[in-house]
Amino acid sequence: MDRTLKQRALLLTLWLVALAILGVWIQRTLTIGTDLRLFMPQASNAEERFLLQEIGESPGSRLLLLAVRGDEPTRLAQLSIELASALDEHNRQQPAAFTLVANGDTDRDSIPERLLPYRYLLTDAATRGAFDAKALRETLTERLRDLTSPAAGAIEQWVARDPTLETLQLAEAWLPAQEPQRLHGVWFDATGRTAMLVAETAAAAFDPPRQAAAIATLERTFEQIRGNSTASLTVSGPGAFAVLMQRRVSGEASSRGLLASMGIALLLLLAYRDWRVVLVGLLPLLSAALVGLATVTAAFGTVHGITLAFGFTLLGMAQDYPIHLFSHRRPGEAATATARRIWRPMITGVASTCIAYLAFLVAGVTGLAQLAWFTVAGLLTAGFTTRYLLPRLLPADAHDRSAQGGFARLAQWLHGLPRPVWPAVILVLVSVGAVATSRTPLWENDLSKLTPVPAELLREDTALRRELGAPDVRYLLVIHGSSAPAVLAATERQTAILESLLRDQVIAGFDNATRYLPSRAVQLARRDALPDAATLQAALANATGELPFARDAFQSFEADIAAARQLLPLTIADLAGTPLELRVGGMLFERESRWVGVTTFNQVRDPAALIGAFAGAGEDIAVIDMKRASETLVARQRGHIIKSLGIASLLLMLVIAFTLRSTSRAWRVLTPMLVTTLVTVAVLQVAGISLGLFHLVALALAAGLGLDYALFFEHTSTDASDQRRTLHAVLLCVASTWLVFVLLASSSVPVLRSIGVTVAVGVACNFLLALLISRRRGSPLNTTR
Amino acid sequence: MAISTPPSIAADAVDSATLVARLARPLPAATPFQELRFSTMLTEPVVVRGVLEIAVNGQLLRRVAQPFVETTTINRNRVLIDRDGKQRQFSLQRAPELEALLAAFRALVGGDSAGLEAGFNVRLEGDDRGWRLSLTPRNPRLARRIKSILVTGAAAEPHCLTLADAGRSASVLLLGTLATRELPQRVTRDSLDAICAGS
Repeated sequence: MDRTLKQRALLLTLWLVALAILGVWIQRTLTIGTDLRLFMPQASNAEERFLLQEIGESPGSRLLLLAVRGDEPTRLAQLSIELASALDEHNRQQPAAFTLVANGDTDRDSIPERLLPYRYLLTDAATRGAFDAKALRETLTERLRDLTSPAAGAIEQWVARDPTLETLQLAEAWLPAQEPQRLHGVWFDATGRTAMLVAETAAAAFDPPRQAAAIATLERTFEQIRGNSTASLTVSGPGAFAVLMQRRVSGEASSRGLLASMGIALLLLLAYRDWRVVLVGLLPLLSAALVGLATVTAAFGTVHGITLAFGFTLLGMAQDYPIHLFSHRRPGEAATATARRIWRPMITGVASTCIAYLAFLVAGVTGLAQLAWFTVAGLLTAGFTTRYLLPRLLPADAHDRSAQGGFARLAQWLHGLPRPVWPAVILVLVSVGAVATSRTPLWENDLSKLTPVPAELLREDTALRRELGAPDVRYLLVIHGSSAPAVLAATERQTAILESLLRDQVIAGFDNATRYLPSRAVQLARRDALPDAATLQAALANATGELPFARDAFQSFEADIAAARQLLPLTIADLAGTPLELRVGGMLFERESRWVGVTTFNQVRDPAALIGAFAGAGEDIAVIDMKRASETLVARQRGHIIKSLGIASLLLMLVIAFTLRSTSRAWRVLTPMLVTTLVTVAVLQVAGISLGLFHLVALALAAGLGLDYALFFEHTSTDASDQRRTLHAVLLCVASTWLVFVLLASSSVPVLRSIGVTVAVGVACNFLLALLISRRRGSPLNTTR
Repeated sequence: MAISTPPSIAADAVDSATLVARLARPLPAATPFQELRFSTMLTEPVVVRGVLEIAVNGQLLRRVAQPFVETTTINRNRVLIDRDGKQRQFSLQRAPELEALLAAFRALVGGDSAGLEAGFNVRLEGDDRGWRLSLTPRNPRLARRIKSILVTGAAAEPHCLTLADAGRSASVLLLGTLATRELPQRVTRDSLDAICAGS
């Protein structure tokens, strides 16, 4: 006795040490990824690759919309101006968090000093004849008047340097194509009670940590300038949502995880009345989690946060294995003997669940593959530790808790109930009817619904976007070329078509890199049209006429023109380190050694006309319908997953038929699971939920759990006490799983909620059907143990 | 709506607080002006004439009538310039010269000596027959751009408001009776100083 106690202590120590070593290794090696695209399908062609990249990185998706409200409009306008300049200041001091901050205020500097002479290559001043004597005379008369204005002091040096006001023209040209109304000099919404700004982040939308940093900067800066104002700042946009969802998911997942853990611990204590058993019973689950993590770490290096959160939820079913071991133990039976006795249904369950998850391994979605590795490795670990290690840690004496008063009576009552098959038939019929007549689309095709954002936030975002005239993210004109200048030139050649589309009201506006960076040819034409020093001096002398300008008043203007005549056309490389770099970089970039130019549109009113206008433009020019392309991608991917799941199901049935060596027994085991899957899909449909990737995973989880219940019910001998013990085990498994997923179903995060509902419904239905169908019809109940 | 002249004060030396208090005008107030802009860019000053109005809520309107028509509205921190139907606007912070001038002007019209002292170092010379109030901005941002604002006048009547910027440009605002005075053909800063001093 003493020796076995020592052996148990040694085994426990070794086990814990092994887990600790694994834990330390994981802690040192594992990095947690946050790019949600890990959960998106893999692209199979250039268009899909472009699409996936754009989803998180297009200028539209990186745009945060800021609303300042809750004070007098004049005060709000002032806050808007102060916030914008404080953010500019912040951008200058640190690696720029924002590639663009705009609030409708036209005064804000947007051209760096170094690039000032380039203005004569960027605007059409020279080619529109702004430097002819006649045009200059009109211009200079206006400037003379400007010098008498109250702002003369501030503008004098600009009158001297830039009399034709090209900098102002550039600043205005670079404002968004469509604008909300301006009150007190800045953007306001239609009601005039909310000041609006946009901030384009340098970080991709699907980079929650950097998005969170950018949003924190916004909030902190706003607090600093707010003073005693009652105004508040609201931030909206894909990046803000990503941050919000991540906070909510991790917050709710961990608070619910804690509640569920406490609930399960309490349940197990109530069931077994022995805290040592409960504690030791956690070891397989702990081992499963660590081995699963280690496997994913070794295979992928980084693990996505969602894999972790979701994987632990899936792995919760590993807790069922120790429950089976504890509950199935006959009085006086050695734990190792119990483990050997229940091994067959248990390993069949583990194997079938693993087969189901392997379908996700080949699905071509990295996040799902991680999830599959994690779960398969974890479940195998939990199964084998429950079989070979856990029994050796258990005390020799065992109590049959299922024989105690209340539970025994419950078991007896259940045993006496009739077991009709017709409810299953009715369930099948009702479910098929519900799915067939439901108006909810069966499948979710929207890639962006991956982590669905609460509807009210989306509505506000849509409203803000409409006010700000932010680009429509659905249609893009994409132009490929061998170099940046080639793409710019090709983009410029489309200007005539774009402008005719604008005239015909097919679109309300468009934007591309040529707005900031005209093509080489255009810049050269403008440069060559600039007057030489003598010509300009003559024109100036002529224009000045009787105007009281001093002879050398426009020296800095002449110097800039002379400098501009020597310039090479501005290239995207020259923009490095300026606010324009990232702005233009979002619309003109190199990808896989080719250059890509993107034209965005405002309010596409006639998509067919837009697509048709560029139909014959050549193979390097195409209008991409991001929505359709993404739906095709999702549908194709899902088809692939469903096919894999289908093959996995067949394989799984074969395994079960082979293990049970009887078709009728196999059907008794499989029917509850198959009917339940159908019922769950019907429930989701009736609730208005379309199926996405996570629902498929949740359905697979519920099916795996149901299979376990059925296998154990089916496996148990006809002995009444064995049957009672099985009922005890399965009921405990059902109760603990239910607790987890009912809590999840109460989440405010839609994706967690629908997973919770899926599994909770699945588990309940599986259990009831397994009671009806899978349980052996035993001998009349006797009270022997 | 002409600015009424308060009772004459004793013809001896005054302190700035007393003087500023006497300069106060009831709102709304309106006064004609002519303004001369001297600049290194110009061979001779440009002259504009019009009316300045201050509304009860502090909004300032500068209506230029000659030699062209232009209206400037300054409301809190926004400046709106309307010329030939073309509007341009900017925030006051963008034009420190205007910001300082406006602060001084508002304090004087309001008779707000404490407000004036808060924004400027104030120095007063002369007596009731002729005084010079020089103001230098305390705010370093404004001081970088503005050398001084010089207000000259007699009794409770300001005559000229001269803003000299950090360079060699300046604008001179002629108020009250000087607003309609014919100026000599080739007016210079010196000849104008003499006019402002009351000669």
